[in-house]
Amino acid sequence: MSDPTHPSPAAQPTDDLAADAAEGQEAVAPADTVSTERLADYLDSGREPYDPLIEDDPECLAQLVALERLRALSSELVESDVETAPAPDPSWIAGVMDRVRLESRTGRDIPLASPDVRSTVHITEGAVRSLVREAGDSVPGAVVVSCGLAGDVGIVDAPIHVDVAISVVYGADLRSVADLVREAVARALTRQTEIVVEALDVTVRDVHLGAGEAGL
Amino acid sequence: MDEATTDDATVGAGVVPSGGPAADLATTLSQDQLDDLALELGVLVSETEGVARVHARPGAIEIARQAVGGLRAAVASVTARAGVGVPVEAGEAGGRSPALVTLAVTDDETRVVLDVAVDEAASGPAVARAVAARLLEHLDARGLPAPTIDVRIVGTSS
Repeated sequence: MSDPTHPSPAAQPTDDLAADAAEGQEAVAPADTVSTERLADYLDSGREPYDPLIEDDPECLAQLVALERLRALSSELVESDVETAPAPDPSWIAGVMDRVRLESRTGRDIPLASPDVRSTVHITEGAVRSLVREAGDSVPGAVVVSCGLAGDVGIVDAPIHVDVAISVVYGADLRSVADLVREAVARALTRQTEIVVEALDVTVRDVHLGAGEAGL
Repeated sequence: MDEATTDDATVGAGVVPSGGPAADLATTLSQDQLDDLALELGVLVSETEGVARVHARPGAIEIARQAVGGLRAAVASVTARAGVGVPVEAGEAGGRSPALVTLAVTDDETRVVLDVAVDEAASGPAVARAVAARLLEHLDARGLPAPTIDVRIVGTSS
């Protein structure tokens, strides 16, 4: 089982986030954000009492939702036959969450068409990355490890290269899962953005087992 | 340039009125009226189909200032003199934050800046355009000077 935090050469977005990963650096979340532990505690409490620092911040919210999906995956795996497989890497979820934290940052503004010259509408790069991650994670057996947008997203109609690196559950058909992820991401991007996707590459970077020992 | 106004990423709704000819509608609005208008716009946005959440945009006051061409000094100095223009604190203790937008009103322009999260099932671009159109219509009806809207999608929500 490979280290899921180590980037695949085939899944190296060209933005600054990916640059860190390409150099093999550990993804480190900014110090001024809500910690993963706090997000985990908040999920444990059923998101009560309402925490505006988390719920009212788009970046924190994206991290919370991603963590919730990872936990759901962990539960599913515990219920499956993972007992027959080797023990999972306990840092696996933490590694993915490090990427989530980086990728949920606002990033660049991506323009959307507006019929009225008096209005400007756009979507943040962070929102698009979260969208990609959510779409990929929605495919059974897939977990998005990292995603990136390469190209001049600030220019309308500029061709964009979307890279998605995933981990696939042990035993699944890798090609099928990757194809489903590509379709799901393409659908989400079409519905929620107006970016011109020149290429959408999905790379299976790892095969995962359980994650229940990550303490999250 | 008087920099007495603040632009704090941790606060949300901001109302930045400017001075100028007394006859102008913008300058006849009181701070309370502008605060109410900002909240009114936020509610209008939150009620738009496909909008899941309304978020205050960090740094929006500065964005609004810069967008109002040539009037940055007037905005800053007047707000300093009047002691207004400081963004309203976002949220109420222990409860959900009110829907928030940033509103900058000058003699010549009304600038609205906000972030939204859209429903997962909705079309993000369509929702953002609907929000902008709704706000423009509302501001036109209020007779405020040359409204311009800046809507940004910051997330999707299922």
